Amino acid sequence: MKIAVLGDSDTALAFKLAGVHEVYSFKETPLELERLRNKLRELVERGDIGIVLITERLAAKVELPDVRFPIILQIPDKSGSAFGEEAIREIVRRAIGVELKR
Amino acid sequence: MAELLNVKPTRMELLNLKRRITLAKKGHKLLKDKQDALVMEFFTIYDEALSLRRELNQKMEEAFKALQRAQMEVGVVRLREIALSVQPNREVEIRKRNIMGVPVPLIEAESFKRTPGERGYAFVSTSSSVDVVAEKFEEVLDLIVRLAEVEETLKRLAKEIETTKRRVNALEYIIIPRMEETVRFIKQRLDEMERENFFRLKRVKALIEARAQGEGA
Repeated sequence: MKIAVLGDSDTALAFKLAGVHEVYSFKETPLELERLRNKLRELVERGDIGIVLITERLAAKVELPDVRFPIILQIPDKSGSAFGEEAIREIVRRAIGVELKR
Repeated sequence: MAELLNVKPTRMELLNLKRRITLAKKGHKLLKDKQDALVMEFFTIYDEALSLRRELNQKMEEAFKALQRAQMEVGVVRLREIALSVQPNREVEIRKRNIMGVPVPLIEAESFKRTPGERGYAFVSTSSSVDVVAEKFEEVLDLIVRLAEVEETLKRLAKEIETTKRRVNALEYIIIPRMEETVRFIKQRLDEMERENFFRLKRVKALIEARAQGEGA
């Protein structure tokens, strides 16, 4: 199954160099975000995409579909990660009810 | 005080309820065991997810630095052209695995790392910094595939723990107390009926005796 990347132009370029099958770049204008939403929906419905990577910055701007397949993973972009670990902690907080410090 | 179930206070219902309580308690114990096991599994995976996340953040930072260097060296437009001629990398295989009855993904993928020759762009027109970027991001992809599996597993386990917790609590704090309260109510009611009956018999007996005495006199 294929991997798809949704990100800003630099992220897209970088993953294209690494040979990711489908790479789409989006800017942060309302029109582009609408395109992003449509693309996301398409990728989820298509069935031959196994993993969708989306930059945290873009993920914060659209609502991610809550699906079991494909796997949607948020990745940091060139400005670094804002809440990668925080997201994992949030999952724990919801499941266990307490926060864990490690 | 738990509210009562809407049943008639009969002996049949009492027996029925007692049976249901035993069943509910058995179910509650099972669910509780499942929850404990899930939580334990969850923590092992949580540690893994957290360390993978950290590694990924660090790797991506390095990789983006390499990208910047390449962009400066080769030029943004040229780099884009090079990217166009890159051959697509390997695909991944996603299967399902079961952890305590929770379906979680299992991703099978070979390493994404390739030799420069396999990448498909021309050597002559590129610089070594492009190779570095491609290599770095191939490493990042390797990490991402592992993280995707682990984080998705974590999410699904978390969801399962949440529903299990809700069920355990519902049984423990609502369903079982309610049934027990009802059992108590039925018992009291049956006792009361027995006392009433006993008293009635006594009274009738006294009446009969009084009448017999009256006739005898």
